[in-house]
Amino acid sequence: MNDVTHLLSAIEQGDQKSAEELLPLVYGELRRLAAAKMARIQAGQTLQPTALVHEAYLRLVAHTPQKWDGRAHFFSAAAEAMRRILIENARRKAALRHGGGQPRLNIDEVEIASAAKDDEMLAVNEVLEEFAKRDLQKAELVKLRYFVGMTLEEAAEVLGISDTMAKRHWTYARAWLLREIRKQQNQ
Amino acid sequence: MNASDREETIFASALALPPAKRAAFLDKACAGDGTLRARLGELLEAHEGGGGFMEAPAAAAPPTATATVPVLERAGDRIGRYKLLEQIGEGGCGVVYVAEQTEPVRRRVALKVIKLGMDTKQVVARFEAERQALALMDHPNIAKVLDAGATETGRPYFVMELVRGVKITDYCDQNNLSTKERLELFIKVCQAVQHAHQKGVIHRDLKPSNILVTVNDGVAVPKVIDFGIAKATQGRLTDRTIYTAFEQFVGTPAYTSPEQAAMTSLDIDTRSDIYSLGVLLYELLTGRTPFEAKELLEAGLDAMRRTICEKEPLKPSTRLSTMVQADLTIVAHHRCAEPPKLIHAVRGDLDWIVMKCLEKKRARRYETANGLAADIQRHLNCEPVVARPPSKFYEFQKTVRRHKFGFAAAATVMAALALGLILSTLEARRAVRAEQEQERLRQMAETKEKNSQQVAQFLTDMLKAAGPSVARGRDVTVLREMLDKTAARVGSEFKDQPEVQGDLWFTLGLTFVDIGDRARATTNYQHAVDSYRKAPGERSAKLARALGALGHTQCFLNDLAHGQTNCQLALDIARQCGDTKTLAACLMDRASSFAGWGLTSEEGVPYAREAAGLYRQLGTNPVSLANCLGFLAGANSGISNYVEAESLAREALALLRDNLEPDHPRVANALLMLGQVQLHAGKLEEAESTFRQCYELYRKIYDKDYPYMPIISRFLALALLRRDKGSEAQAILLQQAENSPSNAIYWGLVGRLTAQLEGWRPATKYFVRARELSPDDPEIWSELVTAELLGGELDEYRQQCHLFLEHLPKVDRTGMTHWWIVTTSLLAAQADDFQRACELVDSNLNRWWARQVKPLADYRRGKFESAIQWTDRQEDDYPPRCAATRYVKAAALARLNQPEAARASWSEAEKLYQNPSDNDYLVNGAWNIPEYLRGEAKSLIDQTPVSSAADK
Repeated sequence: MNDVTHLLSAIEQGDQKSAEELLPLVYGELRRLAAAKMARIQAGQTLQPTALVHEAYLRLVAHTPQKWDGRAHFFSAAAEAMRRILIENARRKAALRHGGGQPRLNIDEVEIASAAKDDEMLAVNEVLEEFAKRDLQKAELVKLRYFVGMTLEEAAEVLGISDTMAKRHWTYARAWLLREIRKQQNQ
Repeated sequence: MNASDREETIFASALALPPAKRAAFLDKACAGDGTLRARLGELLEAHEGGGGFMEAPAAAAPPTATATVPVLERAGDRIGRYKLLEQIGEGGCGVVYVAEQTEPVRRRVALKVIKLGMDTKQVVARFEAERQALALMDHPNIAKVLDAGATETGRPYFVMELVRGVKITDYCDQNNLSTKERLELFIKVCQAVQHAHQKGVIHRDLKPSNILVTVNDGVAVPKVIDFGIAKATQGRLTDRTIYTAFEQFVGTPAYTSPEQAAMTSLDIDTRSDIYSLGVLLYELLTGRTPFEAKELLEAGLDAMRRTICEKEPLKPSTRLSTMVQADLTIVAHHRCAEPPKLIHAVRGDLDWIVMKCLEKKRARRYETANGLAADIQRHLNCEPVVARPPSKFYEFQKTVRRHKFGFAAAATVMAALALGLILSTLEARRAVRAEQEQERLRQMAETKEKNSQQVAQFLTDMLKAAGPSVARGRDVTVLREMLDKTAARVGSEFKDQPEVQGDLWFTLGLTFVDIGDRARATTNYQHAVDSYRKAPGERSAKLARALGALGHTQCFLNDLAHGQTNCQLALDIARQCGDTKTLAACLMDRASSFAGWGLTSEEGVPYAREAAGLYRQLGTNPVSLANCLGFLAGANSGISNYVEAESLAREALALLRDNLEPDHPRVANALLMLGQVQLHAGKLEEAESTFRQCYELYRKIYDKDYPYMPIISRFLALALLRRDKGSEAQAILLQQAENSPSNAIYWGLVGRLTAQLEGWRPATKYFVRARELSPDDPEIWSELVTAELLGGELDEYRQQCHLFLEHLPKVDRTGMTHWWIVTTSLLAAQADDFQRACELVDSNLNRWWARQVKPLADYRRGKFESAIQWTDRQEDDYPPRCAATRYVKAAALARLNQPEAARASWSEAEKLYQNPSDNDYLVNGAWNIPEYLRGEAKSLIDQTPVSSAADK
């Protein structure tokens, strides 16, 4: 049993401290995985976050013999990790645009495919924390859907809610986040 | 409900209404809460005016998550010369559109835009490389790939002949095609694939979604699509990143061949397509793939590869019969059949055909798609198929590989059986009405009977598969453990079914004989005999068979007293029960009951003759007949009737060659027998050729560590040596020794041969090696020590003798160890422990070994007359007809100054010593003992002039 599965089973048994320890591990794994891939793919290609998260899952969790319900915990940690990676990414790119231009030398700098504009991503990120304080589960859904790129159905499965509920949450979350962003921009 | 939830509920309810009614609804729902009303207003506004906000995930969706992929091309767009009309499909690697081509011809085509973020230039370049080959393909069941290029957004696309069809598996299920109809459809697919292969195109990604069925004039036409695309998009596997490989792999793991899954080999060839066709056939027949895609994915990448590369899939019929009843009913319904009929239809030919496609090793699959199609056609025509059950050995390997599962299954069935019994007994007790109870009991008994017969059948089949091949010396440990467990279970699980129990024990006995464990075989045969005796009704044939087998094995273990009684008893029963086959088998058991160790003897000849006559009459058991003839050949050879022996051995060989596979172990054994007869008859050239054939055959079928391998190597070496090809013989033995460095026998053989060719000192090192490997074997010890003595290394010899006499075992039932050690210690008069060895002899004169060594002991103590007397009294002979004691007598006579008598005794000894059939120094480790004594006697006789004897 590796660290991640160990933590997951601890979380299963109600140890919330383990949940905090899970994130750095998954984050580390995702970065390692992404960096390893970056080193090997050709210039101009980008990595798919969903694939990364799934592969991290396969590598870290799926090998464990017992079938337990740690999937949700893993994916929420992975979603958070992916959010951080993407945001770092976007900030770095923004810094480059604003004159901080250095050539990319460090292979640890991960280029991950992102269809959304960096500005939108950064803006969503700004208000997401506030949203998470109000409703953790809906914020999780946003991370899975928006930062990991899961479909609503996949995210619903991870969170253990119905597709309908996921759709309802998503509609609400999206409106809430946009309203909040607009509010901040108007201030 | 927290604030967020409440807000969400109202928000959702508002959205469910037409936009015009939303404001009024919110006013009502938020009555009295102005802040809430305001927030909801803002939310609605954000929702309605959100545009593309967060529509595209920050994370671009992967190729497989289709729902969120932003479709860049739309109907009406143009890509190159093609105008997109409508999207018709979307798969793992691309979106497919119907497109209209306007030039050079106006036609509709299918256009597939590849989704993966891959290097478009390379994809197109690879496609260009394959384009010529693709253009050569022209087959009604292949959708042509017409063109390839890059879209404006830089993604590769392919243009193909438009096929509006459904996946072949869906088509078959939707139309409830019978198995026969499915096979006919599948043959067309094979023919298409064959065509492509002939043009040098490998598909690499055959799967149901790439084989579409359209109906033309009521005839189903399968079309294979996407030829050439997999190669263009995959490129060379090693060039790809792990990541892309993973993505590709995740797409269709269930259809991926082992060599593709391994991702190590570059040389994907046509046989990878054959594998995928096998998976398709599997799915068409059973509705399932050999490995479930879902399970493969859940297992993780490494486990997935391992499964595909190593795990044996269930045979299609097994897969069907292990399905949940409800699933099986659905699968059968789609094939217009009842479940049992479906299973029956698939079992046998189709199982073998599918499994041949799914072989892990490409070389074992069908060579061509046509070969596969032809075999299916043969099945449809009720002709024998090429994909026959694999050879017994192969079968055995698979059984061992599966045995854990097999045993788990048997255990489960047995446990279920036992549990079922307990439960139903309890229930039966509670049953109020007597008749109900009776009915229940009757059913229970029936179920039990049925269940246990199934289990028995399973075990018997498994043992049969394992049996003959285990004689080849592989995996015996695993098998032995398995057999022991089975034997224990048979004892406890089938208590009240003596006949089933007897059958199983009998089969177990046979299997133990096969792996050379005759002690365990005896136990199992004995159990079988006891069970059959308990079995109700007329079981005499089975009883006779088991008794005969028991007796035969006992004789083999030299328990002639019990063995002969049982064999005779079996024969008596067999004569009464009137079953010819049983009678013949019992006659053969009786024939071999006169000599221990499986040797032949003259007394057995009449029985063997009668058995041979019966088998000839029956004409149905050529292999058993060959057995009888082999026995008769051995017996004739034993009485030096070589002409008769050779013709019998030849007939046996011919029978086996006609009826068994050319490389069956029995053919090899028959060659060995023939070679021995020829060797004894002095036909050295023929013997050499026979042994060569035999040697090659053994090497082909058996593992290098097969226990009989040294025997045949030795015979070949012997034949070569006799033909003055000593160095070739030495090379062969040395090679065998190097190949199985842990086999002491070879090193001993090399030593003996080297001693012959080069002398004692060069030979010693080989005996040392043998000794290191088997430090407790007195024969090997003696051989080394005697070699040292003969080579003049006296100190070494003395030390070794001392050590060994110190450690003589307390219990030595056969006396062999004592014979070796004491004889060797007495060989040279100089031995320090000489006195001690003599005392051992004198105090054990009631035992054979001591009487055997007595002449030597007395001779060494100068009691020459006593030595001569003991030699004359010698009744036991070890080794049989050994020359050693005659040399002792000759030496003693020389010492007594009786040169004439000494010479006479010498010639007697020489006759024994030189007789090739009886005193073969390659066969017998004791050979150098007479060798030493011979030397001593010779020099004494040479020193004693005949004339001085004449004076006396």
